[in-house]
Amino acid sequence: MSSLFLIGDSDKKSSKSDGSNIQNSTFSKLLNFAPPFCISFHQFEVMAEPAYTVASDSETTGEEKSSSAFPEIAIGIDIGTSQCSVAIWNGSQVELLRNTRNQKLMRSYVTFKDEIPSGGVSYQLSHEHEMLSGAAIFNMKRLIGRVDTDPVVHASKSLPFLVQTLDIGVRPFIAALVNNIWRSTTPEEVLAIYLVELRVMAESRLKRPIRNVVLSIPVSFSRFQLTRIERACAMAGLHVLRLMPEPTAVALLYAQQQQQLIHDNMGSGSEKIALIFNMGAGYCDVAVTATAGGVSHIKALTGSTIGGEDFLQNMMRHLLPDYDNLFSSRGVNEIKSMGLLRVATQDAIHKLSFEESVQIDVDLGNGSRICRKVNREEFEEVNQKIFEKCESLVIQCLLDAKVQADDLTDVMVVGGCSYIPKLRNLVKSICKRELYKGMNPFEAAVSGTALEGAVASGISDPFGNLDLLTIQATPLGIGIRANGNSFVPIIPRNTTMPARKELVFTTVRDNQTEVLIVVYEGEALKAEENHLLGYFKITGLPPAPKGVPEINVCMDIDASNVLRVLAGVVLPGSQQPVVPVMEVRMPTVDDGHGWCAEALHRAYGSNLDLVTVQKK
Amino acid sequence: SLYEVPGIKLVVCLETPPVSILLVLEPHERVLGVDKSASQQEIKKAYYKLALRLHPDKNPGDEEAKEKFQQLQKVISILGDEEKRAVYDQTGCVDDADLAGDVVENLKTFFRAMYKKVTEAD
Repeated sequence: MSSLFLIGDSDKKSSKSDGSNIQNSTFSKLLNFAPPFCISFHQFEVMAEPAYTVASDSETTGEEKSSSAFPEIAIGIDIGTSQCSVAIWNGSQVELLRNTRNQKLMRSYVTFKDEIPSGGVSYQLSHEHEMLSGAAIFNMKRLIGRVDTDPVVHASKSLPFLVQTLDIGVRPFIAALVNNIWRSTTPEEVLAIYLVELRVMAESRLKRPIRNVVLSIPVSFSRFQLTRIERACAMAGLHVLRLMPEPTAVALLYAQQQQQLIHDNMGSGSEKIALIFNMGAGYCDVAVTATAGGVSHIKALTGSTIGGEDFLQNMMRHLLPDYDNLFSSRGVNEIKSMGLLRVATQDAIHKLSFEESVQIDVDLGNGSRICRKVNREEFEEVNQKIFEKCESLVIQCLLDAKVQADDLTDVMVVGGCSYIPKLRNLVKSICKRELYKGMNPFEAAVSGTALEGAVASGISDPFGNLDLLTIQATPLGIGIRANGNSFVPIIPRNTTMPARKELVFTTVRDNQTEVLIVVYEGEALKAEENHLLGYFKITGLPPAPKGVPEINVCMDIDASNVLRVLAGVVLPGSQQPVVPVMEVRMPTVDDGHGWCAEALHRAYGSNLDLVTVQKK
Repeated sequence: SLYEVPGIKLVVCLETPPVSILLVLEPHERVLGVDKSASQQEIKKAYYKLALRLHPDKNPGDEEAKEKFQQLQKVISILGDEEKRAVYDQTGCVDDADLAGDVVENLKTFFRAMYKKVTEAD
């Protein structure tokens, strides 16, 4: 006990450079080993007014907003795996906000080097390698809301900070290396710190408090991951108005541009079908949209966790076949070598978009040096699987949208990878079209979120520039476990939102009194290969032979993308439910949900099973 | 001549050309009217205008907006598709519950089978 007090005491008195103090604070940090959601954001008070606190939705702010004559315009944020940007409708057009270093695109990372963690919005890296020293966490968009059995988390273990897995379906352990101490954090915390910086930056630019935001998210994000993004926003004092799949934000910008053409008497008002291919550092997404009159109707979405990071990792392993062995231990020197290789490889990949070959010369400092020429074909060969996956995403999206390449009016390639020649060519060849030139590939998604921010805030434009609408589609199917271990979708993928669908199930056992409804999201045929969203039991079924009770499971997604699952039981010949209807807002799962599904299966086996009722 | 779709709360009139839309919401009437001579493009144009007006995003606080918009989706899923519209033209009715998702494919066969029966009986 007394030693604890001593630590607190010495913290106050002694200076940072005091060696003993470093040890003490190490100890106190070790005591706080649990992933700290409790990071104190009051630290940021020194940086800006007003005070930022980790708060839930406050009622008073809402009232203020509605009483104001001018509704607050929500800002749009594109949280990229590698880069972030912020934009707002400035009254006549979308404007990207710049940080104090005059950057519109800011690196996505947070360094824990100093007392107060700081991110790429405000912090100036002395050199690229500083980000790779172990003290900085990046690629948080790839880690957020994933459990430690996820292959994406495993791939992240080669990043120059600590990603530790127990492979049991709990959240991974993530830590930054500061003064030879692994300081634990979470993706939500890192994202929240970063969002606070973005918020401070936007507030100083716009000279008003910012509360409402529209964020772009990858198509493949599960609803659980969306709650993690919302959580990070809440920690940063931001209220999420909308989360838009990235290519749908680009689609909205396209819809606005087409409207503009009509206003300028340059376009026809007829329906246009466009394909958007969006690939950044972490994710690759495709959308097909049908657009007319400022309305973007999303016909289909496909997405996958592949991106520039995979190109980079494949290239690093190609250049240094012993990569995984060399970096299996994570000392300061290994991390430094890893960082050097990363920077050199990244540079080479960038150059290969514009040059046929490039010379790499990097001393990894551990006795090994890579000095060789790399050409574009080599890069394409090493990453062939990724390009194939991209192709399949485009083809699948066209198929899902029931659109032929010939039906397309425009084709867009946007995002951080959009200059890679092979990617441009494969999209062009599948779509049989030249690429659309009307938008900046790095700013398209954030511009779309800013438009949605203005529209969702109820802002109108005298020239009709905001008479816009996105009709979203569900990026993943949502359903329940039934017929043994199968996933039975109730709302299929690419269903127009808002949506409400139902399906009838029945019992598998005579006198079965309980059924377990386990809700999943995804595309896999086996239930457990999808994302678990939640579960509940319906109890008190009256004794009846198997197959007799009709269990009606209804899923409802409203325009704000809130999912509700309703389940009721009726016996044949009656219209009245025999037990009260269950209504559950999903997702209900918390962390460690990988465990949950397994535990449910073990505990209940097939005792509470369901089967679908075949339609007669 | 107008279509009548049971279970739909909208009345839409398309005058061609130019396309103008008269939107009447009648909770009891449950009729959709679209001129049978309207072209695909005119139907699409009407749809987008209506979507902009009916979407819940554009009608905050309106509890019925969601249902109205979903009904519009049901309508356009038939009238916006040449084949389905043709089948519908021939049979004249729609099984509301079966409109969703993949079931629509079966609907086509269902309609065709039904249409056959009618002609045989004739």
